Amino acid sequence: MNMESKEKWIEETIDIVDALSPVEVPEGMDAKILARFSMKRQRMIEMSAISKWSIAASILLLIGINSYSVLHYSSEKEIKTGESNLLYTEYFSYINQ
Amino acid sequence: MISNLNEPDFIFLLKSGDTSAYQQLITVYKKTVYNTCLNLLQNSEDAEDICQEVFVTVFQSIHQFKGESKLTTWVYRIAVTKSLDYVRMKKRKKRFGFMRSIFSEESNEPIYDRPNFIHPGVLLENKERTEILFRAIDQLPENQKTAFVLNKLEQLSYVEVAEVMEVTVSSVESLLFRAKQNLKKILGDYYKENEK
Repeated sequence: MNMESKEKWIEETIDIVDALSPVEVPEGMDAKILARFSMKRQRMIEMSAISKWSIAASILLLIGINSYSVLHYSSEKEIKTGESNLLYTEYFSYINQ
Repeated sequence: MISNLNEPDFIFLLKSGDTSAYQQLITVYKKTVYNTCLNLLQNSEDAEDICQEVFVTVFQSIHQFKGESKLTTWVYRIAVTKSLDYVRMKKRKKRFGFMRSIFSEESNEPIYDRPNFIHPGVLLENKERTEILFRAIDQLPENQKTAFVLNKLEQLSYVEVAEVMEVTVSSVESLLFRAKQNLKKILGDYYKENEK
């Protein structure tokens, strides 16, 4: 008997979903959605302008760093090559003697 | 269907950024989206917020819509994904708040807990039982909860639920069967506890 009433109670509780009616949307939802959308779109436009300048600055910086290191490295190499040549001539100078 | 346009034409208008098409989409789908969010989130304010977010996502990603499914299915899918993401985020926050309350010395900060939900569309005589039922639905695993809400509350067919959830119809049948079994168990435990 008790088991029966428990089963009945469970079934009735689950069946409540059939009696639920859809809820009306809060007022002003349409306007809120459109306002939110235009705000996000505006933010995206601003962001794209910022990112455009950031990309340009990054490229310039990259070019700068690269040209500096290329120029600096090549002049340093020249000095080093000169030094090694000097050492080489001095070391093997006995051959020419 | 949307006014006297067919779906591809309407989607074309949306993709071209037609404001009246946006307005029409909101008018047609707002009730569906709001109710889906409300049933999954079980909180009116959160549902309103996520409903707005769903439409913003629809407008922003309409260019990615390839028309492989119906527009309705796609909108439902976004509503479900957004709602479940929000639920996950809230659970994470709750867990983090709990951990903080354990480790921090000042544990005065209140831990967020969802208040009991009473569905606004319920009849007065069923109010208490609806609250119990929704508490039980909230305890279901995510995919069972989604299938149950879409089929029983949103009245979608098995095929439609399968399309929204991107699973097979037999998977939906199995999810709904397990959801009902779990609900019976949760409600049975509640009945036992409150019998005396």
